[in-house]
Amino acid sequence: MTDRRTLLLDAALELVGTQGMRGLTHRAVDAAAGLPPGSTSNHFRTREALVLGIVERFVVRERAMATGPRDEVDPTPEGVAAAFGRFVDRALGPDRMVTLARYAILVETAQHPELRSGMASGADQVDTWALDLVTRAGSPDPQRDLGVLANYVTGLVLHELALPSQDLDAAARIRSVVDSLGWTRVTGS
Amino acid sequence: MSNLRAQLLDAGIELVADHGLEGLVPCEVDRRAGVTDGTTQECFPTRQALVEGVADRCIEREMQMVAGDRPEVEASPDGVADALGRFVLRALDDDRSVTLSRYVLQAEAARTPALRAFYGVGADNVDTWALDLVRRAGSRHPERDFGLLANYVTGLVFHELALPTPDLDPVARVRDVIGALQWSAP
Repeated sequence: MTDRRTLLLDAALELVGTQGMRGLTHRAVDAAAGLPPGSTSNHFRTREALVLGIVERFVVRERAMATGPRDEVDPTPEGVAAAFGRFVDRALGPDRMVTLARYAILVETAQHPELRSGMASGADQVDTWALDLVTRAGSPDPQRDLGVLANYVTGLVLHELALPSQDLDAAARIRSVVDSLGWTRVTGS
Repeated sequence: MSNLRAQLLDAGIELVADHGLEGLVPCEVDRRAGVTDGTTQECFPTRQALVEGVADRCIEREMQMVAGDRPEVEASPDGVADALGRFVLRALDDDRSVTLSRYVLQAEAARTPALRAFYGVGADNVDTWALDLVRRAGSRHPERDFGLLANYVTGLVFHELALPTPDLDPVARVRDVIGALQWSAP
């Protein structure tokens, strides 16, 4: 069962995605979550606390977008391509509001550097998880290859959002990127 | 593009970067550009014309960010890495407002199909030029490699804008990626 804090943050994400940062008020989040006035203020005293809560929530939502309900990824080139492909499909489809909210928060972070530390700790959690995955999937240079894949996926979503390709096969595109990086299958153990 | 148009649209880009699309108001553009009241309204009679003008100008400035002061980029792995690395540095620093405006417009394009079609024309022009460059620099899979590099650079700028890496060397990063793609001299 979803707890109240999560419910509020998902409502806040949706609001920012639809209306941009100017739509983000404590009162609007209460209404969007269908909870009594004051609920959001109880959990997040300031606007900054609310924004940091959203940043924290991105980590969980984005990981779920990649792993799907199983919450794990096969440590193989196919597994990695499928996971990143699923992320792209969901970022452009059912989780489009997460994507749009992310752009809005990014612009806000660029303008307000005090938000960076919250963003950085979220990014570290995702990196640790993904670096381990890429290493086990056979990358000879995990740091470089995670950089390539993460930036590629971000760029692909950004481009596809504005200019959708007909019949995009994101997993196949990512597979061809993985293939260009020369991963070798890890054998044994 | 005439100097006056460019001057107005550059002011428009800064306003969008600072305040979002709702900050793009003709009289504010006049003020920011330091021109007589009513100039923007005269050049861009509708809001649609002004928004499209700003989007168009973003693409034009991004082209300048890649090509730099040199009209031709050297068609080699180093030349491409140099050009794309320079783009990243400018996108994060001198031309930061172009980058931020682009995210705002991109989100808007996702909601407004009319803007999307327009943005497509400009993006196609960039693609044709860059695809040819990557081919001449030795890529055996120009479509794939250009797609990879374009998305890589976009993602790098996006991540660095929010969370800057101290002493980022984007030329070396891009060169590293090209190294993995094994281009060979044509």
